[in-house]
Amino acid sequence: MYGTREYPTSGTPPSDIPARLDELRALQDGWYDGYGSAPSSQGLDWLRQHAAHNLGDSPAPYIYPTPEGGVQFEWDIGSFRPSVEIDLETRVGEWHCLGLDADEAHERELQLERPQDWQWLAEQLLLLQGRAT
Amino acid sequence: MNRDALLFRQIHPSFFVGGRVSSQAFKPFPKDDNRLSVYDGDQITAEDAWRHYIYALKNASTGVMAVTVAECHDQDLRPEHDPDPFPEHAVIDFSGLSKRDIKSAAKKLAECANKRGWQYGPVD
Repeated sequence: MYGTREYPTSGTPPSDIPARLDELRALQDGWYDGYGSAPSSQGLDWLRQHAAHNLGDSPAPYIYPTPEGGVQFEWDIGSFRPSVEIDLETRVGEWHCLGLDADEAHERELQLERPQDWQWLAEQLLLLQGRAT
Repeated sequence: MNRDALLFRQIHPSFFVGGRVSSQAFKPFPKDDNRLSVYDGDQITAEDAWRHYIYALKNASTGVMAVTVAECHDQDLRPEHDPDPFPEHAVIDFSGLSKRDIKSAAKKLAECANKRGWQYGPVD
C-alpha cells in the first residue's frame, strides 16, 4: 500500500535497540527510492551487540538506516539534538550534537571498536540529559 | 518565492520510526548534489504532492511535512523553483555549507517541520 509496505517502519519503541536493528535487516539495496545500500548483516550483528551493551543505561536512541548502508542514532534530549552516524564497515561513528537554544553544534569522530569511545558516548548522553532537566 | 510559502517534503517510511521523523529526511545526500527536493506549496496541495510522488514517480512516502521559505532563509539555505522534473518541483540548496552545518541545518528544518506537524499522512 502506498509504496510503504516493504519498509521497516513498525512502531518499535526507541528503547528496544536490538529489535529495531533487526528490523533493518529487511532493507535491500536500492531501498531509498532506487538509491541506498542495505546495511550488512554482519555490521548489524556487531552494532546490535555493542550498542545494547554500552547504551543500556543511556537515553534510548531513535534508529534509522542511512542511504550509505550505515545506521544513524538520534536523540531528543531537552533542547539538544545529538546524533551518531555509524559506518558499519569502518566502525567509525560521527557524533554531531546541536544545541537548539545556543545554536551551537559540536562534532567528534568515534572509533566504535574502542570501549572507551562507547563510554564517552554514554557519558555525553547522560550529561546532556542532566543539563536538560 | 513567497517567504511564507510551504515547501512540502516527502518522508520516506524508513525515516519515520516510533512516531518520530529523522533529521535525515531534511538532509540532501550525495546523489542530490546538495539540493533537497521539495514541492512548492503555492502550486500544489500536500495530498496531491504525495499522490504525485507515489503514483507518478513511483517512490515511497509515508506522508508529507513542510518547512517555509523563511525557515530556509534562517539557515542560510536557498529555496528555488526547479520545474524541470515537473512544474511544482523546487529545491532547497545546501551548497556552500560544511558537512557539520548541513547536519545542523537539517536538524533545524526537521524541528520546524515536526512542530508544524504532518501536512498529509502519515499513512500505513
